Amino acid sequence: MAGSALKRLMAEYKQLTLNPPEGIIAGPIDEENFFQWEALITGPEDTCFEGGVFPAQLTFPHDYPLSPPKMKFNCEMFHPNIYPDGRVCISILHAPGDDPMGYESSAERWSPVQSVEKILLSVVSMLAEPNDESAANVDAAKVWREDRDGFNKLAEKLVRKSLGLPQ
Amino acid sequence: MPTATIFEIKELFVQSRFPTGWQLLTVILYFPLGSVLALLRFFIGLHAFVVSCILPKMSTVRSIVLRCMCSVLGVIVTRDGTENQMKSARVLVCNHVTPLDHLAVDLVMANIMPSVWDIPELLNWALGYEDLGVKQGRDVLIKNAKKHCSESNVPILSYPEGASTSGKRGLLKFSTWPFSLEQPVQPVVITVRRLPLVAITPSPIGSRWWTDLMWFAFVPYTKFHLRILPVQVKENTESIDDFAVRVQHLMAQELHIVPTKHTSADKVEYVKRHFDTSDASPVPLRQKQKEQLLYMSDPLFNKCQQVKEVLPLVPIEIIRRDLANTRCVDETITNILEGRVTYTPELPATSKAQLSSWSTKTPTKDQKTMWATSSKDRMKSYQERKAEFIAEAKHKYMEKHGI
Repeated sequence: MAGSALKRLMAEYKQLTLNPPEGIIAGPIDEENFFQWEALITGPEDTCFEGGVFPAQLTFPHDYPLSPPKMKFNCEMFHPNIYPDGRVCISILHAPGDDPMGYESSAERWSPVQSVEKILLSVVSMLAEPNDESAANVDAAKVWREDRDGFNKLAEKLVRKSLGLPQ
Repeated sequence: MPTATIFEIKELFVQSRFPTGWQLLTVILYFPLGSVLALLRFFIGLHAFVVSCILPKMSTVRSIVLRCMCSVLGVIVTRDGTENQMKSARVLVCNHVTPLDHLAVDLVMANIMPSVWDIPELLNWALGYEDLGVKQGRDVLIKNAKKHCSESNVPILSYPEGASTSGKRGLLKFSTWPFSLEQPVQPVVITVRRLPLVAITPSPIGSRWWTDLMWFAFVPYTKFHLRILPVQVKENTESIDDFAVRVQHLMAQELHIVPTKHTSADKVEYVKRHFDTSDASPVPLRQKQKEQLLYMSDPLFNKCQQVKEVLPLVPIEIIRRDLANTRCVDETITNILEGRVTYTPELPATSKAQLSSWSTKTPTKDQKTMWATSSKDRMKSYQERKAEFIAEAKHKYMEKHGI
């Protein structure tokens, strides 16, 4: 199984290298271990995360693409759908049937036709439009809902931090 | 209570229909006689079937006529424990060992069985089945069964195990539906014996009901022994699950076998594994569509599947065509990725809108990124692109905010 996982990951890596989607760069940190990737995601324009470059880590299972990878941000994040420890909680990262929050429709679940690129694009749209109905970070969801200006200020700080700029 | 699941599921079944050693010799010697017997019994069997349909379900005459006929056919039914039989019990549960268990119980205690097949009503009735809506799900079944219990005095027979076993080692885990009808339950245990000289297994694992039936006609006789156990009632403090487990233990004890926790689904799984000798394809079943089944007999099938797994949106015909030339999975993947093979991507039904990455984008020439062949170069290139990516983002941000 690991053989076909490797082939598929190699194919996706090549695809992402030759045709990188805007604002995203991803690849294995060290090709000795092809199951551990790094991704840099730019905060989408006209959102509070605009311009920030957020590093994340993708861990692939050996039966990829049958099972989805796990994704975790390596930088400080404050977002309703990202756990305080950085883990990303979106439906595309869950196989149908595995539903930790009990809300997702199976249409947007993981299946072998999904790809790293689709996951990263989903994360970009998640940054643009948080889903506060299924909060992974309750505090962030609360601030997002009740104090949008406060949330935007916090996000701006994170953007600057991610770029290594004074806050 | 004895503890359950001490042995593997395979021990619950007999693998081979035929015995070994001297017993096989006697079977061979008996073969000509058995064949003639089987032929004769086929015609008598037809008559018995017609009679069973014509005579009213609960009559004594039917029961006597049928028992005689069945003895001629080699099915002998004996019973004990009649003092435990309660006329008002509407739910019978028994263990399942052969496809004829239902007939054997029917000869002693007329009953109906919930039908699990989509067959015409007339045939259902003739075979003693009744459509209780098994297909529509458990709730419908329970509702219909409850209704039947309150309206009719013909008891419902159920095999809570859900599948047959050899009846010699253990009982499968009981399904709870017969125990959730709010009715007293009459357990019946069945043991099957055949002449040791013609020791043919009544129902080995994976056999079809009609082959089992053929061997029934072949052997001199098959003796079903039914023991009727005292009626069990669910206690108030007991859950339905506990009630089912209690009856399972009671029946297992009576049969001197072990109540296990293996379910009928485990049996199905085991049969599948046991009989699937073809090499397993690594793709999950739901992905195999009809058109792909056509390629099953194809020598390139496995290779096609491997490519398909890596590039799920490429139609299988395209993969196959290229594989026919290259005969190499890696080469075909490279050909497709580098745009040497063109194709229209197959859209998964759910994510048409999301399609972006797997389309036939051919790399544009003026792009500065290249795909290096050595992993060292690729890693170097990645680090460079990464640094550039961050610097560019920083520059853009500073420009916009006037820093």
